[in-house]
Amino acid sequence: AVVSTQSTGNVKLFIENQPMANVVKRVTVNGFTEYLRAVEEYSNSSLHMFALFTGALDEQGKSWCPDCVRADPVIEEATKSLPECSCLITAYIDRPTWKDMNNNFRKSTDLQLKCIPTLIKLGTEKRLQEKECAKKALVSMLFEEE
Amino acid sequence: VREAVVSTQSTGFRVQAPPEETSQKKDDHSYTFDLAVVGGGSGGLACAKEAAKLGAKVCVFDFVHPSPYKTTWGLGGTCLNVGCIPKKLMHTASIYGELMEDAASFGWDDAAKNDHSWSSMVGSVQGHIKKQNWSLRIDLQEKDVTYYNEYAAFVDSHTLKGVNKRGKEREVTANKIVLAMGGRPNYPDIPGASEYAITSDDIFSLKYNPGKTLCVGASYISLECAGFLHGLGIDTTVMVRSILLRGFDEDCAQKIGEYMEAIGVKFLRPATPTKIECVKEAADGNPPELKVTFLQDGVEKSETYNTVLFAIGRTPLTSKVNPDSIGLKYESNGKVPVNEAEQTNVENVYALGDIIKAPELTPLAIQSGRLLARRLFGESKLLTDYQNVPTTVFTPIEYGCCGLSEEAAIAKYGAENIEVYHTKHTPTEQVVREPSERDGFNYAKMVCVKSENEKVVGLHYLGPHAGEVIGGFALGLTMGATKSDFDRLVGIHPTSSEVFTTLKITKSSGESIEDEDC
Repeated sequence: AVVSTQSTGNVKLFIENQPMANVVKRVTVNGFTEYLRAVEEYSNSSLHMFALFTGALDEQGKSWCPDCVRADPVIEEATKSLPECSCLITAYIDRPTWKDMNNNFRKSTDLQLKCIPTLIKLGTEKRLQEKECAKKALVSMLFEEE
Repeated sequence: VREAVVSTQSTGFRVQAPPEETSQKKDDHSYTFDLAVVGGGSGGLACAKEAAKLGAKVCVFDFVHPSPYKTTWGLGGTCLNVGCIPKKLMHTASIYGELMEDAASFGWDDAAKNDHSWSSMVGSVQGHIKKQNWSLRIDLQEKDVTYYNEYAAFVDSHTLKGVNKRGKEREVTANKIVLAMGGRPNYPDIPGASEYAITSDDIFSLKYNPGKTLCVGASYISLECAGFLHGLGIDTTVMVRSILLRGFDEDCAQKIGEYMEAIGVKFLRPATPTKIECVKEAADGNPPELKVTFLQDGVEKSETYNTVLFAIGRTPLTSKVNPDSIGLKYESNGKVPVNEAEQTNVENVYALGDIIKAPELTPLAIQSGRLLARRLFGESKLLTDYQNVPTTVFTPIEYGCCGLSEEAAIAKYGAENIEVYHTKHTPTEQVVREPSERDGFNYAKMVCVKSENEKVVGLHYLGPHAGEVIGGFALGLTMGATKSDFDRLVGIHPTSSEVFTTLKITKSSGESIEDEDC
């Protein structure tokens, strides 16, 4: 069962309840402000927080970023082995925003995003960048519980 | 054997497959791995990665038992986590303080030393270290090296048992085994030492400013730590049993001590601690108050410090690897004797890095790890050259050296056969600054063998950027350069390194050495 709840803010929350898998919160946001709001809303000491920064989708559901397209199915598959009590925030970034060298994702001292796709375990120095995100073994390594 | 990791909280399960059985093994053997490395530090990782590059099937066991203070760290060994890297960063932080003082004479307004934030510095340093820990994890994965975050020990000469932090065990067999576990700091056998004191394992991630600190030990670790702590504005004392920097050139060791005293580091010598007691517990981000009782010249004294750091020696982790089960020969201090090919007395077991009797230096461990891998799995026959390995002590006045100390040269060649050239020097960068207690210590020394055309067997440099100065010149020593080779070399001006191209005064002449302005 896929339950979609529309909240009053701009944050859309999808909770997937998959049989034979852990319950993992999936959050989708657009842009930097929504991202910050989601981090604040879902961060608490008991959740393993992850963030995926990826190219926004067009009307056909296709991303403008080829590396993101390649990484997407690998990451989707790997989420099945996320530890319990995990939350993955997927932050979509549109092309004009990303091409602006001064965008907030790049400037943020916490994020210092250099490329997309980037997959980060929040609160740690662990991240995967670009082609690393399409490698199953690396994504599993990032997701696994220490 | 397939392992199933069952999560009791979900209805699903996760199966962890054993390493791919499809890759070819290097030699004809029935062990799981061609090579198992115990220790994921400088030497171990270099060996493992080189072997994997040459097609070997490799695994690395790395695990850090928390210190008595409960500090632990990730992949990468001593150098990255609790050695060279954080040391150099904190030394750099303290040098910035000095440079900010000197900046005023160069026209920088109000460049006076501000308050230093310990936690801000530790945050930056640890951030870098953790990035590197993760990079190494990616690196091993990409290079097909299996990584076990487990404490390994021998079952037999081809079998290792790894234990993870939850106590789960795994057995692994390998054709060749390389021991590169390194060492850990020693604690003295006195009351309160392991309960209240810290070591270099802990200082680089200390959550609070250490406060008034006592560094016990005359090693470079003690002096380097005392040096940067003092430079960051911390009240620092060094307690020394006898001489400073045993094994290094005595001349230079003495000058380092004098420099540190001149800039305000306190020394208690000769003295040894006998007891540590806690007067007030650490609380609210503040360090504790510790009462240290010590013997100085036979008189018992005591003093209160917030932090006591022991740097009195390190012991290889040899005894922890169950060496007796394979009859591995090792000395009482943990050092493992090896032949020139890093082979132990057990035919398929090798040892390198800090656990063998050789300079305990990262680049040496890396070099020997790589060359060993090439000999085992490649076509190479090249052995590691343990002679003339340059090094630098990052005390507030830096000391770089390569080759023999003056004493070692005299012992080897005889005093009449040694000529020592030396000079003081003042780097141009320092001529403008206000006269200070730091002046007059920069020094350069060249030790030559008369009967071999004044072949240079030792180079010693006290001053800024010591590592940068000596590193290149080490090539001259390994290639057998003589004094006249150095004289024919034209130096770069104005630099500190050029001092080695213009040495004139010998110790034997008795002439005084005055400052040479560049």
